[in-house]
Amino acid sequence: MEREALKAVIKKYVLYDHFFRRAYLVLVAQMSAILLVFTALFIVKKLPAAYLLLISTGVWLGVGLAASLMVAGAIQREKAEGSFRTLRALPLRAETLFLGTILSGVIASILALVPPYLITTIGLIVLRGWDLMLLQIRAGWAVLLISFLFASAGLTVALCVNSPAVILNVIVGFSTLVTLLALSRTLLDLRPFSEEELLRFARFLLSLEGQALISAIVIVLSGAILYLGSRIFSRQKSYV
Amino acid sequence: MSDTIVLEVEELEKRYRDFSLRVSFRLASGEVLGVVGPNGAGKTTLIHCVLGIVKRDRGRVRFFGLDVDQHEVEIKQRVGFFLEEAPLFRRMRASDVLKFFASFYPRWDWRLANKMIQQFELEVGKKVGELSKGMRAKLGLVTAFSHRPELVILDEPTAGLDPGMRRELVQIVRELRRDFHPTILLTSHIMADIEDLADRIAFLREGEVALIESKTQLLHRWRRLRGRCRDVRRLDPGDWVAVEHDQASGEVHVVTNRWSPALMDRVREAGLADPEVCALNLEEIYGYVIGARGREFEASPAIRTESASEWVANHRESHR
Repeated sequence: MEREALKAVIKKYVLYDHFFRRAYLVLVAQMSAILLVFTALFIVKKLPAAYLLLISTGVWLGVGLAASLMVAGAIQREKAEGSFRTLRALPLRAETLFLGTILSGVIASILALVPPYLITTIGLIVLRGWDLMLLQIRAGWAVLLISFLFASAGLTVALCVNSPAVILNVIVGFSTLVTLLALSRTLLDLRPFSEEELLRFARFLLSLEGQALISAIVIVLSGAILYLGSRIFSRQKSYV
Repeated sequence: MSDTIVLEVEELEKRYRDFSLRVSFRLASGEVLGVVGPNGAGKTTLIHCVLGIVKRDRGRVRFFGLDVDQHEVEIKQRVGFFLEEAPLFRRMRASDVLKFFASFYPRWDWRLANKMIQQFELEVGKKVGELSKGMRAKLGLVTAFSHRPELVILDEPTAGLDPGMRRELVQIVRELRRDFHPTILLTSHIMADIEDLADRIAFLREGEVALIESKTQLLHRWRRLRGRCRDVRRLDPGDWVAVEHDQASGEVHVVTNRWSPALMDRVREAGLADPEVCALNLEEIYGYVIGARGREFEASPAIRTESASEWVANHRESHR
């Protein structure tokens, strides 16, 4: 793998692309400002810190997913403008271009998470929510993993698919699958989970073993998507 | 120019639903090969296949004796390119585009790049999308030449430019060629650009090379013989690229692509009185090879692409 080329691709998307950079900074600033207002409200009104963590997790997730979506948008825009083919004419392998772009999305997501995460940390310290600190770390890790999975899947689609119509089909297909999964309990007439089962599941999720298992599953899933995506991308018939 | 082959395209084939490209050619070190053809002839597809932007279905592409599939990065570091309409990244500053390109080429020469920036009066602080078409084309030339490539691939570098800017760009390419003698593969549908820059010309028609020959030979071998003729039917169309009867002047024009002084006797025997030999320019030759008269040309025995031995012979001749 060409390290310099990889670095150049990451820099291109994260630093050099003006449109992306401006939109990205606006997104991070807006979400951080919103969270800052919420945190200030929580501090002034002395509201429970757990709710702040809940709201913050939502904001982190939104920022993390939006950042990689923005990189995906930049790729699709370059494909529409015709400048993406310039990337393939440069001295770098298709796999390097693929990995560099995915890493751009992951790095953009991680960097976007930093300001809201710091705001939450300060808020929790001021609200004396010490007991929530460990949960905050775990929630942060979970958001990071979801962002990684989302970046892998979203950017793979953006890189491997040249037509917006196909992307629309992928999104519709994915939404249908999620809806079907959500309805499966009713459709298949399955017994609903009892409160105790749900509680046990929640405890497992919050335990170290549970987190390790879920982390491993998400990482393996992301890795599989990346491997498959890289193979599809490098075998594409056209990069125009 | 030397006999070292810099680019070898062997039976390259790319099929689309309604179009196929099938070409073979070689490019010698220091040579400028101009590929001409109408819109849709396959010029850009050829460039895209050579650069790996579009995957070919069949055939082999070798640069500097190396297979492009196995040595992609190593090869591309020695190749400069300019894609049609310079599709550089519109949302990036020109200076960032240059920094981005520089990171891929170990031999990138910032001194040369800055010299060109100054010479072209490029506003590198501006975003690419804010630059005029001409300036974008100049930026494209800076990215193509700043690593002193051994081979430069220029796809329609003057397309869409006004005549003044077009002349300026051709002049720039000529100067760059004079300064460090790269091999150039150039596509265009503007014959004047090709006439200015190319040593050898490949005429691409409907995805195939209809004719490939050195510019000198083309201009030497293609002639129009003009004279009066009592019976045009005696001039067998199979022997000539075209036999045209000018109703207004009553003259008959016979076009040949195998001119030699001995041909004068043949046309006289065929009944052309006092034939006058006129040179054809590339635009006219293009018209016969590609244009409306292409079908007649197709019937001519001279339509061909080069064999390897012919290439060596032709290449030596054009070099002389």
